[in-house]
Amino acid sequence: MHAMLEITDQERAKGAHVVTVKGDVTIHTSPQLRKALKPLLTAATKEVRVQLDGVGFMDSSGIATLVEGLQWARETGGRFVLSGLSETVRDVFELAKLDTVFEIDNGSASHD
Amino acid sequence: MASLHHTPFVQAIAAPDSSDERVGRIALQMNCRSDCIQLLRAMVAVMTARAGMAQLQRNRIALAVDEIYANIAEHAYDGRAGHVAVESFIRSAAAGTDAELVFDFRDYAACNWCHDEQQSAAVQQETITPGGLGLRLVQAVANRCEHIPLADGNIWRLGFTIDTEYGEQHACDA
Repeated sequence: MHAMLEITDQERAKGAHVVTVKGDVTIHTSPQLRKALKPLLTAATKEVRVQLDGVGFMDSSGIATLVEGLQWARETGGRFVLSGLSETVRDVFELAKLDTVFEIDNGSASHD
Repeated sequence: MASLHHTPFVQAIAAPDSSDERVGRIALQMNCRSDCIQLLRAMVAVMTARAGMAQLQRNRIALAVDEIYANIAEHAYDGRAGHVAVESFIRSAAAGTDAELVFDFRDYAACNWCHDEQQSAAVQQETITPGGLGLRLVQAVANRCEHIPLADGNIWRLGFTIDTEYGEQHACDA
């Protein structure tokens, strides 16, 4: 049985997406995340907020997938925000020295 | 631990240690499949508990084990199913050395990623390219990472220093 991610995308305002992820992001599940994010990373999008409250574990393949969002933000001037990082996931970003490179919302994301 | 700039973090050594005192040993035989990550995660949970490690260290070891496994699956076996044997044990403290939690990965593939300079490269803060990130994370977490080339594959050894005698005692009780 393959572990799967639960991913939902809501467009809260025009061009502003909130992507909610639940599950472990690993080499086997990160393609799911990439598939969900890729259609959003266009010129028509202004902001992508990725809520990671439900992610208990993330490896380098997950970070690499999120780096694609970061690259999109740098190229287009859009915002790519991570929120709801658990202590475990935040530690991985710190180990990779990417915690200051990504825009990370330190509070849990609003579910309004 | 030697600096990455002077010595490759993944070091090739000639032969596996044969004189270790190994405690609390667990061994798994598996194919590279996604559900095997759950087995590895369970192995890490048991062994880090035996070693008396704190939660943050447990998570970091799970990360390092995941990364080595992913490298074998993705690069050594190129995404195809392949045999991997994983053994974990606690090496008791000896004169001049700390106790250590060890994970050995045995694969049966050609070594085509271990000494790639790109794999050891730091994440480039300016260009933000993720190449080599997995091994960089292993480097940040493990106290040692060794490569033992064999005639028909490789052994990858991760070592994590156990700071207290707590782990050794619990491993003996397990």
